[in-house]
Amino acid sequence: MFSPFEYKRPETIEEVFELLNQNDNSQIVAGGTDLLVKLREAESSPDFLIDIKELDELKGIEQENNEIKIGALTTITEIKENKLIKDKLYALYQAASEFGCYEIRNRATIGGNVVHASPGAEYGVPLFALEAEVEVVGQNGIKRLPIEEFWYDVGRVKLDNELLKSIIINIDKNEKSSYHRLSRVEGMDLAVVNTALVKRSDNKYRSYFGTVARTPYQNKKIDAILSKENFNKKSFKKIQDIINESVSPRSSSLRASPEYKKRMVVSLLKKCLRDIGELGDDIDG
Amino acid sequence: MQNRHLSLKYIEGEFKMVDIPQAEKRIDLDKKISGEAQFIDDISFQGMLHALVLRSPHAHAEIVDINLDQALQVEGIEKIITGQDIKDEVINVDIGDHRPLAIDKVRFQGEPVAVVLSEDKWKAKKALNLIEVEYNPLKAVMNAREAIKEDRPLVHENQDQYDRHLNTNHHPGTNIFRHYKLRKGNVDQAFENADKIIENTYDYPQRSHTQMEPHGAIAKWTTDQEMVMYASTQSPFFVRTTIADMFNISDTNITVKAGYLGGGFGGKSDVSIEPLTAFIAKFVPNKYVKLKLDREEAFNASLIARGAEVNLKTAVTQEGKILGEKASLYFSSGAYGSTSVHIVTAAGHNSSGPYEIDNMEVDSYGVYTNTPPVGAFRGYGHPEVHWAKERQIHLIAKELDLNEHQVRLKNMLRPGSINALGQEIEEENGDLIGCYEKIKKKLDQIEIDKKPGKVYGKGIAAIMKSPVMPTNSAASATLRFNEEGTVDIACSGSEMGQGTKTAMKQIAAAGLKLPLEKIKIKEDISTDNSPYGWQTIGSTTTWKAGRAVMDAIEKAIDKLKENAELLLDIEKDKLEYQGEKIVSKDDENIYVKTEDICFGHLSENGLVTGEPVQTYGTYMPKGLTYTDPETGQGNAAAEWTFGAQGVVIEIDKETGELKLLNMMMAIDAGKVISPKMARGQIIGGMVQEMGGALTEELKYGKNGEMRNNSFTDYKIPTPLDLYDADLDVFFFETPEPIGPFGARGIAEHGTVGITPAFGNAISDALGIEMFELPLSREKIYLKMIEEGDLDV
Amino acid sequence: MAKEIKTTINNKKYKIEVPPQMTLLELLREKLIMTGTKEGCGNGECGACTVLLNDKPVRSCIVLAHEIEGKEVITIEGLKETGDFKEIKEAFIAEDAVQCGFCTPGFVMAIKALLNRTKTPTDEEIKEALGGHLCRCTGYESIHKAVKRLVK
Repeated sequence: MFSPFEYKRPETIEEVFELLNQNDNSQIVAGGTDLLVKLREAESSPDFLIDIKELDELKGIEQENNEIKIGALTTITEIKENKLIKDKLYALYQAASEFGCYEIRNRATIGGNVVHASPGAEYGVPLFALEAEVEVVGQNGIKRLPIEEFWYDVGRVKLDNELLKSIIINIDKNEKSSYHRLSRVEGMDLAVVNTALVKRSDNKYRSYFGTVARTPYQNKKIDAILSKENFNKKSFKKIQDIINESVSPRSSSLRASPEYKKRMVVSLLKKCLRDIGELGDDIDG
Repeated sequence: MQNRHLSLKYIEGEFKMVDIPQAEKRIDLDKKISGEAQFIDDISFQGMLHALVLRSPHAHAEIVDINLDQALQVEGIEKIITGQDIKDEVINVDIGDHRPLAIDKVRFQGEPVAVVLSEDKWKAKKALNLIEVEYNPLKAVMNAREAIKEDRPLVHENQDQYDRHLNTNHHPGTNIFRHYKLRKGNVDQAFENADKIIENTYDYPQRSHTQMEPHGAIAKWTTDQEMVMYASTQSPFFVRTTIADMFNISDTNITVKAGYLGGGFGGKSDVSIEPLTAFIAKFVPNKYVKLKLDREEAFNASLIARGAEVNLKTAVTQEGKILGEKASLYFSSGAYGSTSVHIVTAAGHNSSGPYEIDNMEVDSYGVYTNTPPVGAFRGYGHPEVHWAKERQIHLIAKELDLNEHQVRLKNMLRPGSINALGQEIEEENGDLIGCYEKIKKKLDQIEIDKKPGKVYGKGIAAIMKSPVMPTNSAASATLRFNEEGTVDIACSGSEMGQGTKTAMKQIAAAGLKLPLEKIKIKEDISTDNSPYGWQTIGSTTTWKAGRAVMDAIEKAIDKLKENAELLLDIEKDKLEYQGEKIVSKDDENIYVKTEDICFGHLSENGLVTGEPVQTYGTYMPKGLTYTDPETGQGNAAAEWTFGAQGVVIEIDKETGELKLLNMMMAIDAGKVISPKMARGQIIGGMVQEMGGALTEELKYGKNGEMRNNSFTDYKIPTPLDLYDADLDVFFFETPEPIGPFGARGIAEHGTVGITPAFGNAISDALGIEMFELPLSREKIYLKMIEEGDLDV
Repeated sequence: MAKEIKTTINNKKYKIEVPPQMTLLELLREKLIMTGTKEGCGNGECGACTVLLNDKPVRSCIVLAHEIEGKEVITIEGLKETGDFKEIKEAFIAEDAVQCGFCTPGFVMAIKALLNRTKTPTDEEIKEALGGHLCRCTGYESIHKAVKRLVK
């Protein structure tokens, strides 16, 4: 049961800003799959809910030159069923396949997933690895910034009376990508840990790891190892050592211990490498 | 096992297998598939009040002050009730340690502290948020191990002062409220003679039943002495007695009605929220009050399950013969003890597992802890001790370098064996060895299609199960022939998905030799006029209520024959009941149709011969006794069921992810009434326990707060965990002498040996030994890299 | 403040006063007394409250009633009239895919939505359709068999 609040469903972005200006304790809702759960658990209790689902300007997937632009209100199902995404940004397709469950995917939006900025969010590590940028719209217009600047802490993004409009990914820079996550059961679950790997057109690799730090975690030394040719058992040992030294996941997590998380991001990295075709079935690489 | 045999004089050949007519479908399916079946929360009344409960945020704290001033200002609030409103109401199932609301202190996070009643649930919520409670937090004890230490806090300071319905052998001044002792043979001697003593400790943490339907109850007091309640309960008569007892009024003044349950699994037997609902409704006479739990409350404010640490010291010979065993069982039973007294007992005398152990010393303790109270859960003590015993057998074999099958078969109970309680096992108790051999063979036959990066294992466990219940736990049934020759039957036993009503219909059709269409089973239960049934628990309904139906049938056939005797002028001994007609044994052309005499025979001139056929059948378990307080021996179990289970698993070496490939059970179920429903029960039980094996565990924070009281972090098996698995159920049908047509109970048995089957399979796959459930991906992986022979 | 919304539920048009904080599930169960849709968790995690919103299955416990303004909702009560329902029901009966029945309407809705998408779903599509639904009684085997029977 929710505590009472007011509800508005504006039809234009301007109306959204008016409403935001009029109401101090207001909250934007899109798919509601995260927010409404938080409201129920009283983690959040706004007086005013602004439902932006009707804003068509924030929807859809399109390619402009070498960029794919995903509207913030694009649902996870739409991402999963989009051919362009599957062909060019496979990690985003994989993330959609792992996301919640079918009914949740029909409602949840990529923008909602990003602005909630959970450590294990499905669209954390792959967007970071793909060097995504975000478009933010405010009363003074639109600005564009890198996702790692936008998403700066657990549950924190840079929005100040603004809306996340779209997510933009350069497809020329990114040649192949892969996403893997580990859960506790095969059905609907949150990611215990997740990893994304991108092979760029310049043959360099970018990898990101989720739930081991407050935001998706990257270590340049790991990417440097990956970017050298000939992975072998020793490369993974080195990567594991780097992870062990550089991250300290919180020990109070219900979902996994720090020890397990640190191991698993590397195991998932192996799976990503296999997807990209850089590692055979041989477990040891 | 004496005095068990009852006559079934009209059912030809005492235990002869007859064909049980198979129903085309369960009688409740149409309504359930279309959403028309009414569950507790689907019922509401005009002007009904919603009850919202303010619950303790602390696991253990003194209540210093409750301030309702602001909350009472909220418009539309009917009443706010706190522990201060309690006079002498006590919930006393076995131990009078529980009040409907906390009074001076709270003993678990989630315990009710105040209740707001309003017609408008949002207003109730507003008021609830305005109640101010000042607590003085106390140190909490979260498991039995801590709770038995010297310097532990006491959950109940004066447990000595509580009324008890039976001698629980509690330890005054400690947290131990129940101590079951079993002493058999000469254990010290056995340990002296042993070639080896093998000792291990096994942990089975607390779990949640997670019935898909959260608990609910609706109550209305019509006078200050009379109440009617609708409840999602497996035990309407038991709820009635407990509530009547709480208010010190007569049972007959209370009416409890129960319809469909959205799952029970033991968590809706005994009582949980019903006494509280009755208590708060009393403050608003003549109004219906509904208390329904949300999912979080169903986790931390109803009953929880399991929670046992089992230490086994087993004395064995070099050849694997078990000479003796010392077992210590510590149950983390939660803040109130009543609902787990008998779990402690059942686990105690079943700790032998399905083995003959001549010398036993068992101490099973029920210990107060600052968690929600533990109650019955599918398996009732058996899964806890089988987790330990079937892992122990595996480890004994490993330690002695023997084949685990040989060790099991060498020690298994068989006809003539004496079990832990001192009862002699007979042929009729079922074919344990046959079941075990079946599973062993099936596992051997499975060829695994191996993939790179994965390892594979097969695990097996043997099981034994008996129902645990009061010695006078009766079941009953009514049977009424209608004028047209159809039959209405009502019997004790709640329908919570196990198909009990459909099974009763089949049993009645077989017993009455009438087509299924002529028999109607009444589904809803009201304590006002339904036949008495103690509880729907322990996999006993088909067996016990079915036996009561048979008793009613015997009596009905007798009455039909009396009516026929009057009409045909043939002595009833010379008549044979054939279902649709009653025939002279001497001349089959002389007969009378059942439908013509079932209401007495109406002749052309209006004269009636005979009487309407309406009967009442009962069943009371025969020959049960309390166990001896010093030795734990006695005739405590009315029947035994044996079986075996197996799993085949795949483990990902990179992640520890475990995938189920095969899961199976062979069970001696006696006569199987409905093969399809029986299979559903066994599979449902196995999958539910697979959750306990792999993922399920209630987790508490450092202040004793339950941290995973939602499906977000309490993970139960999902469709995808089973989609690619092959499941098998094999029935053996050794007739059970009491059960209708030789049927046994089967509802819980699927759970009993699943956790050790997984544990043994992991050992088979990786050579690692696990002692603590659940066997999560993480635990498997970390143990694998710590101890396994893998180079990871 | 309660506000009037216009919507279509089970092909019938409604104008109803709804408070903003009311969920679609509460609207159905408490206001319209369509109790076939069940609440198992209130968090979108069990699937018992699944209904179709503009033909797509959603979790009605995490949809606000106001969000259905101008949209079409089909619940288990509305499904009963359709041919697919009869087939689903027969498959569930044939495989005995119901025990307590509390999760069943949610599964039925999910399967109906699956059949709306394709009459010949692959294993992957079946898994996708059922993956977020919980059942604590059946162990899922009979439900899986019922779906496979439908697509044969």
